[in-house]
Amino acid sequence: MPDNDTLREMHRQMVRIRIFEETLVQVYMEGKTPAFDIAMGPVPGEMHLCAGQEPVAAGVCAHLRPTDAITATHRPHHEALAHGVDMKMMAAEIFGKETGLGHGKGGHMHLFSKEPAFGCSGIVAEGIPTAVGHALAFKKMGRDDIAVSFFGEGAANAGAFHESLNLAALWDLGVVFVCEDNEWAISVPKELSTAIANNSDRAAAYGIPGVLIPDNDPVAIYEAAGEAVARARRGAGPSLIEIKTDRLLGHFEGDAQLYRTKEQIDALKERDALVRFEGQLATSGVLSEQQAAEVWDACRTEVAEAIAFARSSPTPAPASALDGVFA
Amino acid sequence: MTTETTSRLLTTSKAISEAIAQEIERDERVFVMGEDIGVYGGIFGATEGLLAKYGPEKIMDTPISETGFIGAAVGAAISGMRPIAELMFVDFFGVCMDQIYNHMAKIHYESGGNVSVPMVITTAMGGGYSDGAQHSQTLYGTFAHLPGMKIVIPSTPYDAKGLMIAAIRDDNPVLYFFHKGVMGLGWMTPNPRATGPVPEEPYTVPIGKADVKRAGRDLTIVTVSLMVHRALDAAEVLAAEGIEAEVLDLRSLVPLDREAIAESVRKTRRLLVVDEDYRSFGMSGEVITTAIEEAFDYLDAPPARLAYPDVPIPYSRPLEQFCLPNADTIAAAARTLIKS
Amino acid sequence: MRQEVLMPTLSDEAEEGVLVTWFVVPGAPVRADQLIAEVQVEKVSAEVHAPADGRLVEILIQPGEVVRQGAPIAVLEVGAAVGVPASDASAPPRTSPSPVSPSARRLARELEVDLSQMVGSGPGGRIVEADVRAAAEPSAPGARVPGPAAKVEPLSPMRRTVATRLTVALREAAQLTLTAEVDATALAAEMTRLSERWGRRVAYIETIVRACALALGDHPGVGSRWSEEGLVPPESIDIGVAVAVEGGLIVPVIRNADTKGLEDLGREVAGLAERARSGQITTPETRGAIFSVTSLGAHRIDAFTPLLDLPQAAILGVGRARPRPAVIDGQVVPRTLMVLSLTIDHRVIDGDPAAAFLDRVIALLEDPGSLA
Repeated sequence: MPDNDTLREMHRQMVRIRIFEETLVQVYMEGKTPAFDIAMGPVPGEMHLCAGQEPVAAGVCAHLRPTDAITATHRPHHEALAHGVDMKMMAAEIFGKETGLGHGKGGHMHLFSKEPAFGCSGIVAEGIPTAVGHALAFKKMGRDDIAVSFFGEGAANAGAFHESLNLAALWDLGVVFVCEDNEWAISVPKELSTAIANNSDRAAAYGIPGVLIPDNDPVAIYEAAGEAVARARRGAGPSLIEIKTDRLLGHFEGDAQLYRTKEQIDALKERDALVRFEGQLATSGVLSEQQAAEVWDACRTEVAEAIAFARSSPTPAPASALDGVFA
Repeated sequence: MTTETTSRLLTTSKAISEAIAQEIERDERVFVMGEDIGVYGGIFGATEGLLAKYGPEKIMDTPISETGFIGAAVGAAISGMRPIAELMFVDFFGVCMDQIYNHMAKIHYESGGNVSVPMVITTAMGGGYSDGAQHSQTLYGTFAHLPGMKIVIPSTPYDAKGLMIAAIRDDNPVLYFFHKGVMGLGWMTPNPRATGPVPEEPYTVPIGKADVKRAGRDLTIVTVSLMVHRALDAAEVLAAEGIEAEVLDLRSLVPLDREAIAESVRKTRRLLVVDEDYRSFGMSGEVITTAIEEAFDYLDAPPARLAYPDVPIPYSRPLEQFCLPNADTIAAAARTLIKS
Repeated sequence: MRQEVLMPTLSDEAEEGVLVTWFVVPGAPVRADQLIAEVQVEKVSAEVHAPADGRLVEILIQPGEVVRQGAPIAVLEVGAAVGVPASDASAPPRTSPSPVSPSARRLARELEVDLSQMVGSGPGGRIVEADVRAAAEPSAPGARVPGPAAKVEPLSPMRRTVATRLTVALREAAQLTLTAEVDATALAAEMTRLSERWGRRVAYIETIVRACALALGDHPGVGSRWSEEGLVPPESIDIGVAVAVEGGLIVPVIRNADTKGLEDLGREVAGLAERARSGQITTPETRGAIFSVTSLGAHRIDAFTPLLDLPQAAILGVGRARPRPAVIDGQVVPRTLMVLSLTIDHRVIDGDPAAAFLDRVIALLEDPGSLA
């Protein structure tokens, strides 16, 4: 059970992530209306937002050091922010500005940070082997840092997932594999893609522990992650945590979500884990409504400053596209 | 010509394993992983003897999980190691290409330069011994086309050792192609050019610099790897006919030494590219275009190429040998070029 | 046989169109149906294809030029292509040059070599470096500039063409020359009579052309032409008459010379010579001869070995006529004698038939009444 400071910190992370994502909902659509043109506006291209999935990031990253390496997916914002990636530089990168993490070269799906160690990829499941590599390096270097690989339930059917779990198990590597099951691989629900009910059961195929968190509860996630991280850090090898979480928004911004009904979406909103968590914290006296409101205000300010930083930052010189291929 | 200052001879495969050994000793971040690279010493001998010397922590046999272990090499490199991952046959790239071209090659750029991926992928290429369509390709044109990874292809033991050390020390991802026919393996067709002088001390050969393996004045033959050997054989025949061919060994495809190509063409006025990779949309087209772009006013005849035809590689010996450039067909192409 | 390639008629309303681009160069061999040009009339563009196998010997309309529908745009030499450059001695300078390798072009710039009339030794007539170096000598790079005493005369287009045509002819044909003496005494007397009658001075060349025209009728093999497919007999007796002009030679052609009597023929020869000397002969007038006559008789030249003007297989050189001792009935008597020198292409004509032809010419000349 996390202590109260940890609970409040987890809540703060979830709030700042939620505000960041909801702000991006608005910002992303700037310049793209009335007829949606994906190439237009201050944030062009694709946008995959994670509202609803904040508990995963908050619960796992609470155990991590900046030197622990995370690999994440095309939907990376919560893990990046919770791990401590600078929000301003992240926003600037999403806006394609010179001051961004990648000087505008990577964009929202290719956020890279050295400290904290964070990377993500737009190719489903292909970040998982990279995490195995981080853990391999740490083992060889004698560091007790660990690697965490976040991926979706769709990725759990890809070859890279299986190869990675086997390798990590075979070599006793300190990787925590976190499967964020938000039920939807774009428009394909899990029951139509996965041969078994729970991906956590796949851990047994590789001889590693598998844990299922069925209800997007940040505390349950925190506890399971704590065990997995400790196991990895002490050199006992990898673990798999499956978290049933909720994707409140579409797969991408602009997604008409014709594959699920309004009722289904409303039902998700009704069980919004952030709201539930806030309620629990209020009930248990860890965080009053007033304190919660202050957190929201502070986070709104933080996000607003980050977006303002991004907006006012310079765009990279066009010819800089040719630089930086090789070190 | 690079001068060798030693009389010690090694095969190309031994030169490669010596290079890796010396780098492992110099830099504890270097380790090797791949299928059968440990106990077996690499199917083509590139890591022979290394497991016994350095142990399984440094020389790691992997399961058949190219995506898994090459992806792991990417992650390990980002975290500060200097891994060498072997893709047993370049033909197998299909099962792990995403890790190579979308991750290994792009992460440095995507991160705006703040993350590096200092790793080497070694891979065996080439045919001529009836290993069929899926085990005989060269494919360097496909990789050279994609940005973000350096590509080196040594043809001699001297270059093999120097380029391996350079590749390991380079902070960028480097694809290191070795042709099975240049390795000097006892169980392949004997090749006298697969053995050569190699200095004992560590040294580097610069990545991105071609090498004139034979100076000439009448035409330039540009090529890599085993075809360098074939071109040199052809050049000897041509010399007896009074035709002096210059043989330019590119040694690297990325970066490509365009100035060396241009300089040679300016000298000889006639260009023949020999390419064991598929003819269309590859190395031969790139070299010819470079000559036209950089040395147009010095061309006295249209540039020519002798490349593998655009067909899957056949198994039966006469079929495969028909398709492969050899010393005779290179010499014939050179003669035609002289007359044109 | 020469055939004109015409501008297609693409429109009922428009009269003219534009030649957009040529896909072949002059002198290039072409195959029947090969794409040779693109033309456009108003908004309709069309491809022009070669009507037959042959060689595109002359391009008459340049890219971008306006041309009437149905008008000739090029001349095709029908039959197998021979590697002889197309232009005649009097043709205007070629405006569509042979292909040039980039290196040759660069060297030509450096050495100030004019490529416009050159035909190269590379494939398809491509000019290569070696050609430029050869053309540049003796004005090789770094050569001494001639002193004030020696002035290098630049090569005129005519000179270049003559040089190329004759050297190619020597390379390709198996040339030899037969000489024979004509007793022109009676001929000279006849010429004097005719001169008085016609009110103009009749020249030997007129009578010789007439004699050759008649003799060619009996010996058409002498007027045949070499081709890879076979010897091509003459379609009409068109005889070229060489006229010395400033800077070179022009050879206008008398068409159907066998159908014209000596008076008409003579007048035509004289007229052509006059026009040639004043530069009025047009290119078409110099094309198509199957036999030529050339004279150095105005000089002290007794006999010589005229060079063939390919694709003709024979040419008759005329030496000077003058009184010389001859033996008739055992007596040495003064007669007007003249030597004819017949050069033949032995690929087409053997020695005996050539001699028989020359016999016939001489027989005609020695019986001037037969020339009328």
